[in-house]
Amino acid sequence: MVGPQSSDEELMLAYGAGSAPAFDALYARHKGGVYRYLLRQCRNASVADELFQDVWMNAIRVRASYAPTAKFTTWIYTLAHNRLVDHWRATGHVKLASIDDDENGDARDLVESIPGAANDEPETRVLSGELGAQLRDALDALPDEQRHAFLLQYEGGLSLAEIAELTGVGTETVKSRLRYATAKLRSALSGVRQAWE
Amino acid sequence: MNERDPELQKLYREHSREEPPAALDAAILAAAHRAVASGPRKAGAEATRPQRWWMPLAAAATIGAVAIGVIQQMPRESAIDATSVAPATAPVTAPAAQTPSPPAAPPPPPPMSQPTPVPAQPAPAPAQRALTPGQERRAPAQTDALAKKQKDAMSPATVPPPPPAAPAAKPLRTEPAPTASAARENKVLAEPKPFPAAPLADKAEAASADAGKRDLPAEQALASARKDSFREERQAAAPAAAGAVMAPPPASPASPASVPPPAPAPATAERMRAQGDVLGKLAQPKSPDEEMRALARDPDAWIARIRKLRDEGNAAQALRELKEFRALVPDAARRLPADLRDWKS
Repeated sequence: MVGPQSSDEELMLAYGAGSAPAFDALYARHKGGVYRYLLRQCRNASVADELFQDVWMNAIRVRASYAPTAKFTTWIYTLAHNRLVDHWRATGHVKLASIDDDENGDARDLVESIPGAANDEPETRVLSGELGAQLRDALDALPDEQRHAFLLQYEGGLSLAEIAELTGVGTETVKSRLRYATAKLRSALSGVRQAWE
Repeated sequence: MNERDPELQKLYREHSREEPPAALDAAILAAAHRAVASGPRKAGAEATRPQRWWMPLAAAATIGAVAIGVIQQMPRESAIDATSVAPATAPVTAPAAQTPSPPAAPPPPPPMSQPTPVPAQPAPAPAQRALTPGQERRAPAQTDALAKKQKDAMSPATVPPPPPAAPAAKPLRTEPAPTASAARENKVLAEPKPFPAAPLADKAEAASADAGKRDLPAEQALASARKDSFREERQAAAPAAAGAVMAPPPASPASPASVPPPAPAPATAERMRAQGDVLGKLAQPKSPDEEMRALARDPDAWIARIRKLRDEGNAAQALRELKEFRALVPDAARRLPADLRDWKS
């Protein structure tokens, strides 16, 4: 019997056994995070809708073979990540080389030295008064890998190890990506946050 | 190590509230419910459930059909058994009227002993109660008709006056007349009993019943009984015995001769025919041809009978039977002794 206190894994197992209400509860818990993860990554609402539907339909299709070897969150975000990768491959998305992969740090320094766009200036955001929009813009300005790691952590609640496993990189790399992403966002929102506070 | 910034996380939570469209939610939830309602697992269960139920259902239907068939067959078999086995299990009464009988001979007489129209045996045998109504109707009618034919076939010289007196049958038998106790016992069993049961007939009946009990062919039992009777006939001294046996049966006003006899069951018919052979010899209820065929089954006894008829002076009957013997017995020339082979031939 599933209930509000049931874990994600219990709900998914119950749904695999034929309990539709279990899926309802599971979907209510994770639909926002998965949707925002896809939306932030592809930056297109219609595409995000399509990918979002594909992810959940895939989860519905493989419900019987679901095994709680990992957290459900890890599993569903893995489905979303794979679908996103497929989408990128299908649309010819050019994946830039990650500065995190540069062991010497030269690339990272180079990227850090690149000035942001004019609308990234805190004053502009204060003028617009849309902190949320500035935050989304700051996220969009992040490199894919940093944004990816950030979204998996802040939307999915995944740990460093889980993100590392999902993205196929080492834990230190994930940690570095998150550190850079957080610093950029904090820098982008600092002026606005002061004005907002 | 947690790289999360609480302030950033709070700010992100407050300003990041995008949700999938309601239509998309509805579509996904509907798909999830459909999958549960008719998904692979449920669909498989629904597809296999009827198959799982078909097997016991088909087995139950088969068992039911077999049971119905067996039930439909049972009454027929039991009815046949009732007519064919009942004589063997009939009340033990006839042995009281018998004199020395073989120890193996069972007491209950066969059911066909009763309807014999021989005056010497008017008393219904105990097995009469075991007869089915159809048998009771058939036997008197048949024996009446056969007796009439027999009477017509017999020569007037050998036909004694019709009185159905019991002494007419006496010369045939070496056994003493039925005792008073036997008569009393027969009277208890069958009330309309003007005469006690004929011992010879009872013996034949007993032999027949014994054959039925031991599952021997009725023909064998009757043949043995016939041998015994011939042996007794040879020992008998009364010259008018053969004629007495041919005595016509008294008219039975109660015999339903006009009622067509129903077709008996095969086993019953066989038993009736076999018993009729014996009784036909004793009471002559059958036609001469049938009697001759019955006698032809035991050529040695028949030869003794012909010789006896000749010795008793009944030359006409002896010649007639000798002629029948030659016609019915395949190796008559070899079997016949010299005195009969050359006798008036």
